[in-house]
Amino acid sequence: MSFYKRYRDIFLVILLLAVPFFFLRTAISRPEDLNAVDRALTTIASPIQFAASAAARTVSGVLSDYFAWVDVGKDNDRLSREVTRLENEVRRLASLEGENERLRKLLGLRESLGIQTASAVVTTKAPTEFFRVAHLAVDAPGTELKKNMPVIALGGVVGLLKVVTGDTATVQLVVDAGFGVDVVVSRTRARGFARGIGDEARYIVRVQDVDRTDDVEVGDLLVTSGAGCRFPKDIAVAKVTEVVKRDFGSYQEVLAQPTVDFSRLEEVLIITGEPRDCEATPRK
Amino acid sequence: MRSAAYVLVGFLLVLLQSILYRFWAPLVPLQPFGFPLSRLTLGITPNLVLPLVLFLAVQEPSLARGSLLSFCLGWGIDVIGGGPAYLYRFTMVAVWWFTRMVSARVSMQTLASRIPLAFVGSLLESFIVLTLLAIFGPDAQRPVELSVQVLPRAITTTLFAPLIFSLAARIQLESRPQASSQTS
Repeated sequence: MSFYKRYRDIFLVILLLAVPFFFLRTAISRPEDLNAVDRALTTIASPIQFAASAAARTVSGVLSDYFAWVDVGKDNDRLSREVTRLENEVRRLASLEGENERLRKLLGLRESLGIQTASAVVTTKAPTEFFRVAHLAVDAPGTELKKNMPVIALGGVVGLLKVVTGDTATVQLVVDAGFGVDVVVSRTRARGFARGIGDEARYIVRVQDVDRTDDVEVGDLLVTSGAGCRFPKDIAVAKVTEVVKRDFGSYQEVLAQPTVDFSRLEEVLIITGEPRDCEATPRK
Repeated sequence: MRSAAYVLVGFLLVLLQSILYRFWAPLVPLQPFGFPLSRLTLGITPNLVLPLVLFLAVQEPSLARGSLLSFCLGWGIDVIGGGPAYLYRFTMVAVWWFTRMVSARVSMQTLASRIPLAFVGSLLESFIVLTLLAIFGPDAQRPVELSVQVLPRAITTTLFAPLIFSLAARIQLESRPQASSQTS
């Protein structure tokens, strides 16, 4: 390597370092000032840059779409959970609204009775069909409950308390075979004695001792007679579903369906006071 | 021919470098587990041209060619990168010069030895750029803010470096037979 060539290269390196360094100050303060070569190079590079950028944008778009879909999936999961939560909330509020309505009506019933009552809620039903009973919990703790206290609901007669344990009680339902209540046909005041038949398949009562000459039709409403001072008068018990009149015998056979829907029974009233204007002695 | 290939590849690398951010741009708005991924993507754009300059410093025997090629590659970054003019022209020649001085004393013939060189070279490049911005730039605080990008940039540049080294070696290898046939 000749002396000239060696120092030429070093000079070139120094020049390549020095020129940009001295121009740098101006370039930083006025970055828009480009020389002719810079502008030419920019012009040449621009279309290539544009094409490369467009290609990259396409790839980036695919990636963005993918991540967006991932986000959509996450949003979908979150919204699904939110919808489920809100649906549960709506169901809960609808249930509360229904309960509120029932309680409002129950309060009206209590006031219309004009006797001392205690409200209670049905906690459980009988686990078997052998016994048509329901378990109650009294709303007001400390209420004095006694065996055979009548239990009514909005629909009508529910049954009688059979077992009392503190603030809970077991009620024997109208449809239980051991239950009986004196009733009259609301339309004709024809009298009878409603008794549960214990049918495992149906909630039905049989009305006994209905005179065969009495006017009873399907659809007639049976209400309590008030006899025996247990149930207040004119509380709905059942609706007649079948009337069998025979040519012989003194009575006709009447089957009726309780007016209370036991499958949906939630709130009840326990009659703790003695009904007014009751007939002290049952009918003959 | 070889010089033209280096310049062409260098310009393509600058172009690639200028659009690389698009590939991780979709990650920027994501916040998995509440952690913004934008923090991880800050400064990870590698300097793809730098390994080429380092390769030239190590492998190119001609001072004039090496310095001129580095100057041209820096020019490409200046023009396409949109930064202050002359910034990378100076920086690339300075890095080339520094690496050439070091490589004259330390063996850097193997790929394993060049990878740490890429890391150190990237740190040096960032140091020069930030120092120049601090000296000549209108805002002295800006280089301080940019300094958080130095390490991620050095790491990603080091990760890409073997690829660029291989590409540069391939250019050198392809051009060698022609040179030998011309001389024979």
